[in-house]
Amino acid sequence: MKTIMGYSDKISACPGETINFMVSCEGEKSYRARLVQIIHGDTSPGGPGYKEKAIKADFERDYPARKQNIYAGSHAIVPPHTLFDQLKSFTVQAYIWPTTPEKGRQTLLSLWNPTSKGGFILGVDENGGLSLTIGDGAGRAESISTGKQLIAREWYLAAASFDADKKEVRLYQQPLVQYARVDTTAQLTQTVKVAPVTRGAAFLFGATPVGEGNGRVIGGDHFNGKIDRPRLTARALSESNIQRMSGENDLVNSTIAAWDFTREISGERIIDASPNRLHGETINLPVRAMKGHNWTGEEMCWRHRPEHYGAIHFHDDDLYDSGWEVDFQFTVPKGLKSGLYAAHVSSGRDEDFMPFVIRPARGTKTADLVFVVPTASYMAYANEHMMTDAPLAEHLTDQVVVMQPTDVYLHEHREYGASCYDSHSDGSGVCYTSRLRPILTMRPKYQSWLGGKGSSLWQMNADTHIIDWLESNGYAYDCITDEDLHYEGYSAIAPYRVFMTSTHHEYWSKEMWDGLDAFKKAGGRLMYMGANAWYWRVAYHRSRPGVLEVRRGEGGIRAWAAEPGEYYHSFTGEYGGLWRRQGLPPQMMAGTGFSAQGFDVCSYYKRTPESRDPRVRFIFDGVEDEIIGNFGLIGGGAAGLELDRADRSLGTPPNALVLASSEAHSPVYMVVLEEIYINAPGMCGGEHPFVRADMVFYETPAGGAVFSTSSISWSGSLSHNNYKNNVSKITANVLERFLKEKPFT
Amino acid sequence: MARKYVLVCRKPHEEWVLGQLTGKRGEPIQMSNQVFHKIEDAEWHVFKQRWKQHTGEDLSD
Repeated sequence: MKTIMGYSDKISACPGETINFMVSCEGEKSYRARLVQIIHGDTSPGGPGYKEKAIKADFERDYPARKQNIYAGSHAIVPPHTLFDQLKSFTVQAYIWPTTPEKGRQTLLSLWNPTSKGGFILGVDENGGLSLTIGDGAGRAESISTGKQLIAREWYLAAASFDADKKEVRLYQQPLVQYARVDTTAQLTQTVKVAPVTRGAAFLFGATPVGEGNGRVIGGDHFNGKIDRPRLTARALSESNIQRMSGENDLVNSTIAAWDFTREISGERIIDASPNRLHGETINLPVRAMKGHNWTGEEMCWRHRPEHYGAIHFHDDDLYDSGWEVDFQFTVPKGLKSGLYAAHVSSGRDEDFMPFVIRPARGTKTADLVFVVPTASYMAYANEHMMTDAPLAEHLTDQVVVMQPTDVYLHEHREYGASCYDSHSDGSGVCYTSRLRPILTMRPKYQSWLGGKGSSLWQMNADTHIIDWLESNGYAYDCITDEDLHYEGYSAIAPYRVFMTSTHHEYWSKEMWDGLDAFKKAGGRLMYMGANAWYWRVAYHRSRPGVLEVRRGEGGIRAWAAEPGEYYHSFTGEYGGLWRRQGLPPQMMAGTGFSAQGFDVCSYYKRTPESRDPRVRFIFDGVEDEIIGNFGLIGGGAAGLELDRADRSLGTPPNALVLASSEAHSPVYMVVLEEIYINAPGMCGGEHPFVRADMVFYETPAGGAVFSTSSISWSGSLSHNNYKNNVSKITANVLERFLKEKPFT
Repeated sequence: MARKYVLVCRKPHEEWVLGQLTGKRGEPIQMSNQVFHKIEDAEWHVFKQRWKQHTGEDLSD
């Protein structure tokens, strides 16, 4: 049972900057917080063992424990308003696209005071039919339902009216597509005994307010599905007027609000197009730039026809900012070495780490090497649930899936949010991921089912193999994060001579891509210490911190697929998907690109004749072996998990040398999907030539150079035999030459 | 995912307990009292369970 956890508001900071830490601790009276530098998060007895450095910090002390809650589920809200208070008769309506009508009670649109229990709720009832609940704020409530279950993933015009004089409710459940023998159309008129009293109520989309917490309205009965063109009118409309109101701009008299979700799609505001301007905001980032009821397929980009993208997709498990209260702060002192750190908190038998990067002082560097911590990729994998939600996990690893206690906790506590490898509870893909929540998979000591046999590390903890190697060999380095590269571009890395990647630097924004491209063009040296990088294009939110978007478009190894017409990021309007499908394959950046994957055991490289080329003599100085990396903590070999290959047709420079290639991969390894045009047998390790990692070197025109290991497991071999091995030697040879000023060309 | 076997690590690199998923999100994993100190032993145990399920035969160690 996880009892203590937390997160920080920033993922990196320079000296003088302050990071806030938010902690939840239950079942204890207090917890201890301290600062550690993360060196080696691998606890395997087969390696150097867990290493951290305790650093004195002013926040180190005991703190009172308290549990802080997370409220997942998205909705939108318009604050209370006198126009809402004055409602007597009304009509509320929207186009809806329910995705889980069978789930039970869900709210589409509500004007409800949670204290008085007065107002109304247009929703889906326990039986999946459209319903209206009216509360008089004095303890009486009444519900009316169409009694006909909505069909999932079908558009409906849903409306309810209340005539205060007649005390008459009308419900309209009108499917936009008709099917033979299946009729879910319903129209119902019924008199009721109660009248809604809406005083003090906020208007919510996708939820009913149940109270307040973490500084905002908490929603309940969250809706799964899309809402398009919600309208509120201060009278009971006829059916023809409801149809009229569902049009684009044809409003009737007595319109209270006509919300238009096609406006400000990239932001969190929702805009009321009526003269009343009852604008609101979204909570927990429901997905925008979603196809509306009127999408035709004529246009695939929401920027070109926003009127076709008037829907917001709400989910009962969306999460953006947990909104926890701050427990303690840390202002980075001058002189603290740049690196990967964590605020470590512990209480009773449990502990947690809140990792962050300390950068050098702004505008300075303390080394010629920068190790870029791939926080975008950490966020994409944050709190992933594939081992419990997707049958493929066992196939990918060729073994019964091994879970950690953390995984069990996340499985049982979905409120901590999902990763971009997961699906929402309604089956739609998770395209937003936030770091403003405890990310329990981004921790030292954490083992992952994706990490192969042996140490079983993935992402951040696997990257500590690189940090440990740098520390153990005394190499000076600075650290920055993906976010620093994204927001500052080339200037964040311009001072350095060598850019070192992580083991799996998969997710790149355009700003990050351009920054590294400029670095290379200026003569910078790139050491690619992993595989499957520069794969997915991502977009950071333009005004909100700590959240990014991935649209899993057409192609690539995807845990889910975006709906047709929903390939463009809502945050920026950029086309999402693989960089390769946008004309920038990874081979153009590092000479190699994603080619195959498997997650059981790893293999080795065999040198090629090109490794004898005088141009690369420095790389193999002191390395006599033909076989490279037939050992290691990750899967037992330096070539494995994900593999990249050189391919001139995809952009590998013509001057690139393939120094070694891996072989003898297990049949669990499969060629990546983007290489398969006609599926046929023969795509596995031992069968297909694309199941290999190519170690590549090439020089760039400005005197720089690129060295690519092309394997995620490479770094797991660095510490073998007390760091004396051919993987470590090759890495050191490359780094030491790359650090020298002397141009390569 | 219902009845899918999983191993839950109880002591890192030392001890794993066999469990089965219920197939429903958020529902606790049904843990057995089968404890293993080598993942390979757990794999063999699960293989025998599945063999028995599909063929009705018991496999001996």
